[in-house]
Formats: sequence, structure tokens, C-alpha cells
Amino acid sequence: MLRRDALKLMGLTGLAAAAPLAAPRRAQAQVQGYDGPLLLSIHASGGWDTTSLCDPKGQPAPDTPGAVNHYLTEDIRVRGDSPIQWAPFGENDAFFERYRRDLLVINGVDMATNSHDAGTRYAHSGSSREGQPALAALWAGAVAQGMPLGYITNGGYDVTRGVVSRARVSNVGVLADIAHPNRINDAELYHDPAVLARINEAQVEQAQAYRDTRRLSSIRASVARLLASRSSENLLGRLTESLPDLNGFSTELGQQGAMALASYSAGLTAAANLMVGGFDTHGNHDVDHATAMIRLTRGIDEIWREVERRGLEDRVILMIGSDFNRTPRYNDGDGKDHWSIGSMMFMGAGIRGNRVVGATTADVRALTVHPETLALDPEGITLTPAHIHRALRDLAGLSGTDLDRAWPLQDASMPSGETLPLFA
Amino acid sequence: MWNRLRTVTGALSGACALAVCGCAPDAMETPRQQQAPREAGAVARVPTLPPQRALGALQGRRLAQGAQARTDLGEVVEARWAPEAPACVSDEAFFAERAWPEALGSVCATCHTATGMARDSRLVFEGESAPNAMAINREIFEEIAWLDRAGTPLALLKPTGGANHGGGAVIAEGDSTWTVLEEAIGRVRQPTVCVAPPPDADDPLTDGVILADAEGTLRRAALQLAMRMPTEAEVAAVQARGMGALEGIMDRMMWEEGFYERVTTLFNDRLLTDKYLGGREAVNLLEANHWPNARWYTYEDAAERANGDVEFLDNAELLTNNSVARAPLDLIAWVLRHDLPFTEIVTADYAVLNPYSAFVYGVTDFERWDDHLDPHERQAVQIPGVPHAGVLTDPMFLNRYPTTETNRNRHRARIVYRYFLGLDLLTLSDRPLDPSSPVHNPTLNDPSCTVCHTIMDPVAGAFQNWNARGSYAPVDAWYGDMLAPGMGEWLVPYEAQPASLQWLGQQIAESPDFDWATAAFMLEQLTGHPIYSRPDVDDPNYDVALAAWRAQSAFLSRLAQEFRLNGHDLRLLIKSIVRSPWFRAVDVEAWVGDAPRAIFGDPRPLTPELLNARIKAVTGYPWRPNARSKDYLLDPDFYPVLYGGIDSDDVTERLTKLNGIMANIQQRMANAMPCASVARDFSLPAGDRLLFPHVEVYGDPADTPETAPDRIRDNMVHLFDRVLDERLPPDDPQIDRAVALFEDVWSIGQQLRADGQAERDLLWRCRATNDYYTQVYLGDDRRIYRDDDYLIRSWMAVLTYLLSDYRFTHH
Repeated sequence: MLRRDALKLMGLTGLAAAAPLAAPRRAQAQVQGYDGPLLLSIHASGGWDTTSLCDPKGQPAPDTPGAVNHYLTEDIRVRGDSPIQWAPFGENDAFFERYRRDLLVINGVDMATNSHDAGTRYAHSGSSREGQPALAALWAGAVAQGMPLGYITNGGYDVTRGVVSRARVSNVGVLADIAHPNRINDAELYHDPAVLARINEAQVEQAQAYRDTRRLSSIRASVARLLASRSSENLLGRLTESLPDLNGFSTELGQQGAMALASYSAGLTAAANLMVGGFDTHGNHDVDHATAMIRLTRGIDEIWREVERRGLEDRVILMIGSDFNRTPRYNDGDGKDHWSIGSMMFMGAGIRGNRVVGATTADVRALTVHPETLALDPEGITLTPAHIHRALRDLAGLSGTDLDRAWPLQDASMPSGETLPLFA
Repeated sequence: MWNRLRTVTGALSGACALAVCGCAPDAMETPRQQQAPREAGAVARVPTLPPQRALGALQGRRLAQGAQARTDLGEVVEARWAPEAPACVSDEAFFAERAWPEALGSVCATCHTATGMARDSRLVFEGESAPNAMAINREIFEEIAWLDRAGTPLALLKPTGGANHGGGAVIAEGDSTWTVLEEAIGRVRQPTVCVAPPPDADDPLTDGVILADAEGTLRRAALQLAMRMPTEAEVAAVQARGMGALEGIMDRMMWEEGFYERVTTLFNDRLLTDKYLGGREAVNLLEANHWPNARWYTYEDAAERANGDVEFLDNAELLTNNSVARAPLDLIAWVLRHDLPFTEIVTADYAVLNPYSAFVYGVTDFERWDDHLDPHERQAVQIPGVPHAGVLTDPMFLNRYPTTETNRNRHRARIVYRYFLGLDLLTLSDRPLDPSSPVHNPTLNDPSCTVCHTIMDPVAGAFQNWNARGSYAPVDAWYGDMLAPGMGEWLVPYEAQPASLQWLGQQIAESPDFDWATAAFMLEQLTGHPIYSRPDVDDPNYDVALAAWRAQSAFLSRLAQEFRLNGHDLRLLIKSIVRSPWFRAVDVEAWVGDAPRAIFGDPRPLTPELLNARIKAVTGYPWRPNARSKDYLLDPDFYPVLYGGIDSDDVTERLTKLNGIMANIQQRMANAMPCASVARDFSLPAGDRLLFPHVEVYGDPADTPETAPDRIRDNMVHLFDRVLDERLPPDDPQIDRAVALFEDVWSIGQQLRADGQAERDLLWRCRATNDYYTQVYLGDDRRIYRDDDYLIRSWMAVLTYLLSDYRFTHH
């Protein structure tokens, strides 16, 4: 089936009703594949320790009772050309030395929960309300509805509420077969191309006829989704052609990113969830958390190098977050438990880097900021994921669309829905 | 959920923010006596209604329900469901409507009456004209229904000619009369209790809903319950007797191996213990000091440990690992195989092991097994020194949901609530948390923590004797800064402390929440309905969501009541779901708004497991690289995760909406399976064929569109029935469309052949020359490799068309 047929069918069945009125650049021209911005939503699963990353505290002297960190405060990394500070931990030095000018760090974000599920939901949807679609899902739903791999997920918070289908593409080895379902091998086909074309024609006729006999809109939409998905056969072939050698990536996060970027380059994907785990370090924190943190920073580095290799620096946005933070002290098992004041980081297209917004006290309690200047202000507001997502929706061109209205961002600390100039 | 939450929390109070992995408790301990207003050592059980009393209390409703039940029997066409229609056939109705007229009255009572030839036997029925004859005869039958000889009910043995039956064989085992008698006996031994639905509970959602007819319901049930297609006899039975016939059919289905395979898959979606299948994943979790045999096959003295049995050693590694990994799911299957109350999954005082897993757990005497090399032989085994409590004490379960020094089993407690009591504690923790709380030991004292921890921590304490590696390691005392081990308001009694999980298992089993949780899980798994939460008031579709939640809650409450009153018989629970509109709804009579949608849930693709089963059931062949390979949709190296399945490790949630990759996998399957099956089907005698009983591709002339249009059309009708469960007349537009496809492809093929662009012979892999599994040559009279007329390839095109149809790949 031609893609225009699929889109027409989607329109008939209401699938396209959720498309934004003001979709981002080039988002309307979908016939040849998607080439608008790509959102990569990276989740550090388990609850990262931002004092071991971008909100360092340290301890004034070795073995200080109740210390936030085991490293010394005097060892916190500072560079004269950047407001960003980082902890002497894992491979942070290499990461921040390379990317601090590109990074926007937002500290003192009140996740308002110690629950893994709730925190993950809040960080990646901007709402603590159960069932709220992830930003990546809304984004893909807005600009890549019906694309075969519009929204790739490797886990994390990937609730879609039907605005887009999720896809997994981790198993690279079999993608070639999947991309060419009529091919037995290089020399043989299951059906002659002329026969296959006639089968496909009959399939569309049959599906449309079946849809027309159904009175239930969910079934009609489901049939339409089937047809739209099938229209992607040739596009999937592009994915296999654009895949890099994943053996060149040392981290799973890097591989996830490479797959998403390859799919994006093939015009198939608008958003992806990437995930790295191991952060829930209730015991043996420094050792285990460093391992996880290295996987994260090294993975981001591999992703961005692949972005650069493909020349996509002005197309890709990285959103990096976690469930929440870890306690500003060690427990009896030398681990750290859950703490609700955390951080998020951003870089890429449209992100003005080399900035820090918000801050925390020495024991990681949130400091408030002025809602217009974003400077620290005792009379200001506490930053929440809702504020960040409000600004992200603006950045993504989602604000004011049907999807934005269908899934409002409401938060006790943001009753009027103000937009902070976080990305301005 | 909200009402249920009240049930679970009971007298517990406070507001909550939860840290499943710790809410930053301060180090200072709290004296044990200050923990909670619960009396140390107090023991109480959740009161339950004794079964007999419960049955009696419901007797009135059962009679009323029975009268209604008559209206449902014999229904064969699509029906508009009405709320007052029966959801359950009572035992009394079954006896009056089925057992007596179809078996006892029409067969047995021809002799076994006061004036009949068997008047001197122990079984003498009352004549039908006598007052209250039906009730009297039911009592008479209930007495003999309990009698067994050599493990077989006497009431089945006698009429089939056994046990010196004076009348010889008057029925045959498996025939319709025997089937009715079998069910009648089963109903005496395990009474069915029907509970009337709450008045008007489902009205708004079922108004105008079209249900699958009896045959359609049978086809759905066969795939969902037994992972197969219905047999011709089963189809004939429901065509003749409607939904009533489905009862016995489902009973038999749920004793087939496919049922246990299905149940195992379903419950792995919950337990996720299949994560440990393969390699040494499972045995590596076991502590060597507790289980010195865990990796026995790697030790130098492996042969000696195996008592010199080299064969046992040969395949030991993988078999041992997978046997250990599968033990919790094997326990669930065991409970069903032995028709035990389903509560035994948390109360069983044994583990279900095979020779390999038993060996790991120190049960090394081979003599206890019929065949100690057979991994499929299983026994209920009490491992010495282990106080079993069903899956709760299985090391795989305990490792899958691990604990740490600071977590203190809270993760396990959360899983217990979520899986076995239907409460997701994390949903309680969404309210904002104040990180500046100065409260000492917040999990015990800060209201923002205590509500959840008050529920969670006692259950966490009940896991006190099981360490992080899942070994039984009794402790002297549980943490003093946590609530004492228990559940809800009740503490683990002193004498039960060493076996506190057994105590917990009993509490779970006695809780109505277990019934609700099991009902909700089965409904979700069998129908694809998500279990609705009470919607937020700011939900954009609040009214619709509220109506859906109310209706589903009412239905689940009813299922839960039945489940308890029926002795926690999972099969009866499943049957209630299958009979309900939640399972049978297929469309609406007219579009009347969003309300009816709740009863349908969202359409979704079949899971990899179900699609795989359907492919084989329909075509007769599996979809796999070759006969000795694993199936594409089950082999982790191929498609299960890409097709929306789970790996029980990183990917634990199934995709429910089709994406591009899944659609292409469907297409590839639809292209590949005709190659594997069409020629093979034609190689069989017409009467043995699954797909093409009405047409021939060889012959003089063969059945071409020109020579045999009617037979082609007849076979198309057959294919729609077999592949898509659609019974269509030969002149249906869908048949026309498929015939047109066949004719067009045949014409294309003629042209390709004439142009030299198509070979005369089929591709090698699409031929039928050898038996698929044995590779034995089929013989010259059966082999099919030529396709001179392009007929086989035309039928392959048609089968591709049907296998890629929405109705084949979706629920």
C-alpha cells in the first residue's frame, strides 16, 4: 500500500486526529520519511546520585561524620569558562571536559517522590498523574504518527496512551530479514514481485472492507494501524542500510543510541527512550554507582560522537534524567537510599549549553529560583519536572496542540502553568 | 482499586509517600514495643465463611439463577447481551436441563426405576411423574456420584459396561452422554456456585454490545485456553447445543497439555522467573553452603555425586538449570494438574521438582522416580529443613525480587501485595514528599511515609528468615526499627516465627484480596483488558473512565466471590470469564458513543506465543528455520521480543499496539508459512488435508479457475473458516475477493511461465518431498515439487493473504 493510502486511512479512522496543529519543522512532509528533530530521552534507571555527577557536595575533610560524599569538597571540579561543576567520580572528568559547553544542567528539581515508578513518570512526562504519556511519546505522536518506528523504546517510562506505537529494535541480527519479508535469501523470493503486488492490493481491499463493517472505533483504528505499519516495508530496508557496526560501541547505551540514530537517519524515528540501569545503590554506593555512572557518561559520549559522525548536531536533542536522587548521606551498608530533590541535563539542538539553572543546599535541599530570570531567589519557585516539561513542549512546538491540551501539565507548584525560560 | 485499598489497609491510617527501597530511615532504633498499637503475639485470621454455610446462604439465588440459565442454553446466533442473562449455569439447572434429560432419565432410568429391569439394584430413580421427582432424583444421583472404583467414578464405569453392569455398555466413553455424566459427577464433587451480578452494574457498558456466538466463543476459548483450534466434534457440539455445550468442552480443554503451557506463560508474565532459563543463570544464584549440589555437574566428583550415573550427568547442566528455574511455574501447573485450590500457590508445603532440580536441593535418591532421566517427571517434594510456602519460598522467586541490607525485604513485600493481593503500593506514593522532614525514623513516624510502610513493612518482616540469595537462614530477631512481621493488623505469632512465610501464605490465601487479584489477573490475561484504576477527576475522559472502572470493578467483585465460594478453582474462574461479555464482545450494534468501549478494551495483536500456536494449529506446521529448530516466535535469538513479547529480564512488559517491525514479522510469516505448508497439505489424501480438501493441483485436468470454479470457491469457504474463523456463504463478497485474487495470481503465473520468468518447479524449500520432521522420503505417489500450472503458487498467494489478515493476527 502506498503511504498516502495509509495516511488517508488514518484520517478516516481518527488516528490522525491527534496530530498537532503546529507541528515542528518539516513534520508535515512525511511521505519520504521523517527528517525533523530527534528526541533521545535517556533514563538513568534506579535513581542516580547527582552529588556524584552535576551537583557535587563532597566532604570538608576525610571521614567527616554524615558526609554527603566520600570525596573532598576541594576536589570538586570547576573550570573558569563554565558555571558547571562536577564530582570527581567515575569518568566525569572526561565527560564534562568535552561536553560542559554543550550541557544545560538543572539542579534542585523537586521530584516530589521516593517511588521509582512515580519518579520515573514525573521525570519523563512532566506529570505525576498515572498514565500520562511520556514526552517522547507525545513528540513522536505529533510528528511521526504512523511511522513504523516512530517511537523506539529500550525501557524506562514509555507510556503512550495510544498516541503512537512503541517499537523495539534491539535485535540487529534479524532486522534484515524483517525489513525484507518476501526475501528468502539473496537469490530467492517467496512470491514473484508481480504476485506480491496483487496480494498487497487484495490485503488493502480486504482490510478496508473489514474496517467498514466494524462499528467500534478502536477496531477501525487498529486495522488502520496495521495498514500504516505495513506501508513501511521499504523504509525498514533503509534502516538495515544505515546501521553502523554496533561492535564499535562499548556500552549498551551507546548501542541503543546508535540504533535510534540509524533509524532516524532512515527517516523512521522521531523519538527514542534509551536506558541504562544499575543506579539503585542501597549498598556499596561508591563502587557500584561509579560503574553505572561510567556506563552513562561513556554511553552519552558514544551517542554524541555518532551524532557528530552523521552530522546531526542540529537535529538531535538529549534529555537525561533519573527516577530521583539519592540521600545526602550514606546508610549503614555504605549505600544511599532515595531522595526526592534531583537534577536533569540537556544538550543538543535548541539547547543553550554551558549553563546551570537552580541549585541545592549543602544537604541537597532545593533552592528556589526567580520565574523570569531563573536566578536564585528566596522568594522564587521550586523547580519541578512540570516546569521543565512545559518549557520542553514549547521547545518542541507541542504547546497549544491537541496533544498538549489532552495531556495538560498540572502541578501544585505550577498552578498557572507558567513557562520558565529554561531553553530560551 | 480504591475500595479494595480500603480492604487491604483496614484500620491503618495516615498519608503516604513510599520508598520501596527505603525511605531514608534514621539509624537510631525504635523500641519494639513502641512500633504499633498491635499486641505482641496477637494472632487472628481473616474471617471466612465456611463453604457449606456459604453454599446454603446462596441457595436462594442459585435457584433463581437456574431459572434464568435455561434461556441461555441452545443459543447459537449472535446475541445481544442483557445484564440479567446468566453468567453461570447452576448445578441444579444443569441437572434438570442436561444431566437428567440427556443421560440419567433417557438412559439409566429406562432400567433403574421401581418397575424397571434394574429395580433390584442399589440405584433406583423416582418416576418422572412423581411429585418433586427431579429433586429426589438429584439427591439419589448425588449419592452415587461420590462412588469410585479403581479411581474411576462408578457412575461412569457402570454404563460403559464396567463393574459388572447388568445392562452392559449402554454408552461409550467420550460420547455426548458420557460427557454430560462426567460433568454432572464433577458438579456434585465440586459444586458450582453462581452469584448474581450486582443490579445494573454492567448496564451502560453492555447495552448494544454484540457477542461472539457459541462457535465463535469456542474458537476464541480454544486458542486462549488450550492453544489450539477446536476439533470438528467440538464445533458440532456447540452448533447443536450452543453455549451449554461449551461448558464440558472447556472442562476438557483445561486438562490438556496446551492449557498448562498457556498457564505457565501467563504466570511467567507475572513472576518473570523464566529470566533464569538457559546457561547456569538459575543454579548460579544458589548459595553453595546451602545447596552444595547446585553446580554438582561442574565438580571433579560429578560422576560420583551422580551415583555413577553417566547418563544423568550427560545433559545435567542445562536440564538442571532450567528445572530449577522453572520450579515456581511448575508448582502453579502442579496445583492445576491435581485440581487443588489455587491458594496452594502460596501455601503449598512442598516444592514441585523433577529429578534434576531435586538433586540440586539435596533429594538425591533416584529410586523415588519412575525415570530419573526424565525432566518431565515431577513430584511434590518437601526439601528437608525448608518450611515451604508455595512460590513465596522458592529461591528463584526470592532472587527475582531481591533484597538488600537497607531494603529489608520491602521489595518482596511490594511484590506480594501487587501479585497476590492486587494492590500496587507504588500508587500510594505519588503525593509530594517533603525532603526536609525532620521526623526521626520517617518510615516509622513520618506520616508521609508511614501509610505505605505500615502496610509494607510487616509483610517485609514475614520474609525475615530468607536471605538475599533466597536461602532459608532463620534470624533471631527482626529489625527493631521496623514494624514487626505480620500482615495488616495481625502479627506473626511467636511459634510461627521460624516459618513466618507459611503464616503469610495462609493470610494471603484467606484474604478476599487474593481472590480479587487472581480474578483481575486472569481477566487481563485472557481478554487483554487493562485493570482500570479509579480515574483522576481531571482525567480528560473522566465520565467514560469512571463508568469503565465501575463496571469492571463490579464484574471482578463477582468473579472474586465465585472464586472463593468455588473453592479457589481456577478453571471455574476461567470459565466465568469466557462466558462473560468481557470475553465474548465483538462489536456494537450501533455507534452510541464511547461508553461501550470499556467492555472491549483495546484490540491488540496476538502475543508471540499465541500467534505461534495459531500458525501451527491452522497450517499444521510450525514457523521455524527447519524441523529441528526452535520456532521463530519463541526463540530468543529471533522474534519474540521484537514481536512485542518479553524476555522476563529487561523486557517485562508486552507491547499491545502494532508497530512497523511487528507488521513486517507478520508479513514474513505470512509469506513463509505457505511455502512450508501448501505443497505438504496437497501431498496428503484429500480427506486428511487441513487446508485444501476440495481442490486438486495435479490431475487431468487440474482444478483451475477454468475447470473447477465451484470447487475453488468451496475451498475458499473452507479456508476462511479454518484460518479466520469466518463461516461465510460461497457468494459472500469476501469469498469473491479471495477468488479474484486466486484467479489473478493464476493468470499472472501463466504469463510468467509463458515468458520464461517462472520456473516449472517449486523452490526447493517449498516442495513436499520428505516428511517435515523425519525427513523420510514421501514416495513418488505423494511427493510434490512441480507446479506446471502455477496452481500451488496461486494457493500460496491466497494463504499469504489470509495469514496476514487482521483477524488472524489480532485478538
